[in-house]
Amino acid sequence: MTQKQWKQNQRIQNQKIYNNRIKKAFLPVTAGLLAFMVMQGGCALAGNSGQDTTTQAAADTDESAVVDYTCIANQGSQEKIYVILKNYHGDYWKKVIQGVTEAAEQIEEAVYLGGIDNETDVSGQISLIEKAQQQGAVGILLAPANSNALVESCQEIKNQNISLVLIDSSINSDAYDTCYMTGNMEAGQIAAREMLAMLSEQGNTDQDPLEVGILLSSDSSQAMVNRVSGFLEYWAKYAPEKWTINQDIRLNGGDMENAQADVSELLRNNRHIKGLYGCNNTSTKGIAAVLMRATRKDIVMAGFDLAEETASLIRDPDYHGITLLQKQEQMAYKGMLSLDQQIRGEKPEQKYIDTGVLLVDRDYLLENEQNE
Amino acid sequence: MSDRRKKTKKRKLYLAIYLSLCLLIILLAYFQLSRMARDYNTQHLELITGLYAEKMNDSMEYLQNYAQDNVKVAQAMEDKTPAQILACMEENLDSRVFCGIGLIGEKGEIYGSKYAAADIRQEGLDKQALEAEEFFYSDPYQSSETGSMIVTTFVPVPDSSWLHTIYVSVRIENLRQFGVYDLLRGKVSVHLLKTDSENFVTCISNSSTENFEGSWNNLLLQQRYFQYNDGYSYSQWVRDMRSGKKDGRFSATIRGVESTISYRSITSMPGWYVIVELANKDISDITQQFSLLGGTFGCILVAITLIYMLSILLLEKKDKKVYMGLSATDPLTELLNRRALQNAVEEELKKKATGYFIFIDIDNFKTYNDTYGHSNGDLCLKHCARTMTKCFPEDSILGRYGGDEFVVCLKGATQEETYAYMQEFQSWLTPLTLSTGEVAELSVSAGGAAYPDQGKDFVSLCRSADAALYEVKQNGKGDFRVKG
Repeated sequence: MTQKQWKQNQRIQNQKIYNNRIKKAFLPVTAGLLAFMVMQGGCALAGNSGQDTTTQAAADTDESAVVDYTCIANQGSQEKIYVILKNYHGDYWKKVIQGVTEAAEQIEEAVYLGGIDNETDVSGQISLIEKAQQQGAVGILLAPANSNALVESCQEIKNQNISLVLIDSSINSDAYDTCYMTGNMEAGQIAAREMLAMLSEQGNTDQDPLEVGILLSSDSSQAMVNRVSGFLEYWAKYAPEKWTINQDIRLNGGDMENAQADVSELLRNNRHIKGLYGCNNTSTKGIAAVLMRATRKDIVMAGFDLAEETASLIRDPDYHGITLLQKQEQMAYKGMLSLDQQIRGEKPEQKYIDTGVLLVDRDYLLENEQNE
Repeated sequence: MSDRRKKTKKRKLYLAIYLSLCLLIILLAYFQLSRMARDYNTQHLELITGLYAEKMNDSMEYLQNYAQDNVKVAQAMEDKTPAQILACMEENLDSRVFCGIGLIGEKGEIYGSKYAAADIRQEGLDKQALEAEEFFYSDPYQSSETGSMIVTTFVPVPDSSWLHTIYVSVRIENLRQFGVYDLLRGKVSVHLLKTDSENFVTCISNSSTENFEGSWNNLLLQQRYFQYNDGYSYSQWVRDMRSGKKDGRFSATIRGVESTISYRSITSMPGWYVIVELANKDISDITQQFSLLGGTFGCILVAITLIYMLSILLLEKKDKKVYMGLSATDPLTELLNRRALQNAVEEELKKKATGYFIFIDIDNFKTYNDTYGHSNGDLCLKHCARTMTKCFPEDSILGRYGGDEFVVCLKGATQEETYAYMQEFQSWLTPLTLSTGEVAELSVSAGGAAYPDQGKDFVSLCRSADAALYEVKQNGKGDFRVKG
C-alpha cells in the first residue's frame, strides 16, 4: 500500500468515526426521551445513577464502531496476520499501532490492522474475528474488549489452528497461545509501595492517623480492579496500622469533570486524606488538576499514564507524585514477533508475559526532558 | 320477638368467632410453615457454605499431602542430583490436577520450570519458604507459564543436607471445579476472600454479577452494591473476620437483589474465608414453593369453610322462609291465614295509607258441601281463592278469615275502583266445574270498609265490613256494598 492509499483509508475511517460521534451525540438525547416516556408511562424504574450508566452503556454497546481492516505491510503475502484493537483511535492505542507497525516491518506475513473504536462494542470485535477467519488468517493479535464475551470466539480461532496472541488484557479461558499484558496486580503494588514511601518522606509518622483515597473510572474493567487489588494487597502487608484506605472509593466513568469533583469532595469530606491513588488516566489527571489548583502540596499522588496535568504535578518540586506507564508498544511489538514465531512452528514456552510498568517520577521526567 | 333477635345475634357472634379462629389458625400455620422454610433455607445455605469450605480444605489438604509424599520421595533420593529428583517428580506428576512441582535448595536456588521459578521469586515466595518451618500456601497468583491463576504449597524437607523445600502448584480453576454443582449453577456465587487486604478471587459467579471468575477483585470496591440489613455493616463484617470468627451469616441487598451471605474460614489457609452468596429468591425454590403451597392450601381451606358456612346459613334462611310461609299460609287456599292476615293488615294500617278492606262470604257454602260433598266444598274454596288472586291487584292483601270467609285489602283503591274489582271478581267466579263434571253456580256476598276512615285497626275494620256484608245478605246476597 502506498502512503497515499494509507492516508485515504485514514480519511475514510475518520469519516466513520465522525459519523459515529454524531450518532453518539444523539444517543443520550434518545435515551433521555425514552426514559422520560417510560417514566410518564408509570413504569417503576429506580432512578439511581447506576442504572442510568447501564442504560448509557447498553446504548453504547448497541452502537457499532468497527474500524475495518487495512493492510499495513507485505500486502502480497499469502500468509495473513490480523490485528484487532479495542480502541483504535485512543491515545494509548497509537503507541500500540506503532509497535505493530514496527514489528510488521520485520516479518514476512501480510499484516491487516483493524479494531473497534468503542471498547464496549464486543459484537464489532467478534465480527472482525469472524472476518479474519473467513479471509484465511494464519495468526491473530487481539486486544480483547471483554474477558468473558470473547471466550467462544477465541476458542473457535484455536479450533481452526490459527495462532492467537492476546495483548493488553486476557480472557477467562486458556484458549490462546500467549498473552502480553501489564501485570496490573504488580502495578498496583508498585503504586502502593511508592505511595507509602512518599507519605513517609512527607513527614507522616506511623502514629499519625492517615487515609488514602482511591479513584477509578470503572469497576467493570479487570485492569483497574486488579490495580486496586494490588494496591490493597501491598497496603495490608506494609502500611502502618493507622494508615487506612478511605472506604468511599469513587468511580468517575472516564469523565474528567467527575474525576475532579470526586477529588474535591473526597478532600473536603476527609481531613485525614494524605494520599490519592488514581487507577487510570482520567482519575490521575483529575487528582493532579485539583491538587495543583487547590495548591494541596500536603497530598501525595500515585497514578497511571502521563497526561499533561499529571506531568505538571510530577515535575513541580513542591508536589509529590508518581505515575506508572504501561509498555503498550512493547506488548504489541513482542506480541507480533511471538505470533510470527508461532506461525513458523515455534511453540511458545511462556503463556503469560508481564510487560511491566515504567515508574515515572520527577527525576525521570527531568532526565527525559534534558535528553530531548 | 326480642328473644329471636337475641338468638340470631348470638348465632352470628358464634359464627364470627368460629371464622376468626379458623383464619387465625390458618395464619399461624402459614407463618409457622414460612418460619420452618426459612430455617430450612438457613440450614441449606450454611450447608452449602460448609460444603464449599470443606471442599476447599480437602483440596488444600490433598495438595499438601501430595507435596508431603514427594518430600518422602526426595528424602529417599537424597543421594541423587536435584535434576534427577525433579525429573522423577515431574514424571509422576498428575498434570490433570497439578500444574507444577519443584525444589528449593538451602541457598534459595530453585529447581523447576524456569518460569515457575521466576514467578516464585517475583512473589517473594522463595524467601518465605526459606524462613518457614512449616508448610504454607501462597496467595493465588498468575502463572507466567500457563497464564492461569495458581496456588502453590511449600513443604519443608527435614533432615536434608541440601534440600530445603518442595513446592507443588495447582490451578485455581481445578479448585474451582470442585465447587461446580449443576443444581446451583447460575444461582450461587462463591468467593475466596483474604481478610487483610479484602481481596477476593471469584470461584463461581452467578449470572447477575460482573463476571471476574478466577481473577482478583476487591470487597471494598464492591461495597457500593451492598446494602446491609438489620444494623449490620461492612466494617462489622470485616471486623468479625479479622477477629478470627469461624463462620457467620447476614442478609444484604446486593445490586438490588435480596441476598444472604454466608462465610466460613478455611482452616488450612489462615486469614482466608469461603464466601457464599445466594439471592434469597434462589435460596431454595422448593422451600419457597413449600411456603406458597402451605399458604395456598390454607386459603383454600378458609374459602371452603366460608362457603360451607354460608351454604348452611342460606339453607337455614330458606328453611326459615318455608316455615314462616307455612305458619302464615292457609294450607287449602294458599292465601294468608287469619293470624298472618291480621299482621299484614295492621302493618298496612301503620303506614297511614288508604284503601278498602273487604269481607267476602261465599253464598250458600253449606249447601255446596251438603250437595256435592266436602271435597267439592274445598274445591269451591280453592276456586274462590284462585279467582281472588287473579282479579285483585298484585299488591293486595288476600287472606282466608275462616270457613268460607275471605278478606281482601285493596291498597290505595278508590271506592269506584273497589266496586269495579268486585264486579270483575263476581263475574269470574261463576261457573264452577266440579270434580264430578257438573257445573255449579257460585257467588259471594261482600262488604267493604274504607280505611282509615271506617276503621283504624283490624278489629274495627272487620266490624265495619261485616256490617256492610250483613246489609248485603239481608238484601239477597250475591252483591257487594261499602259501609255507608
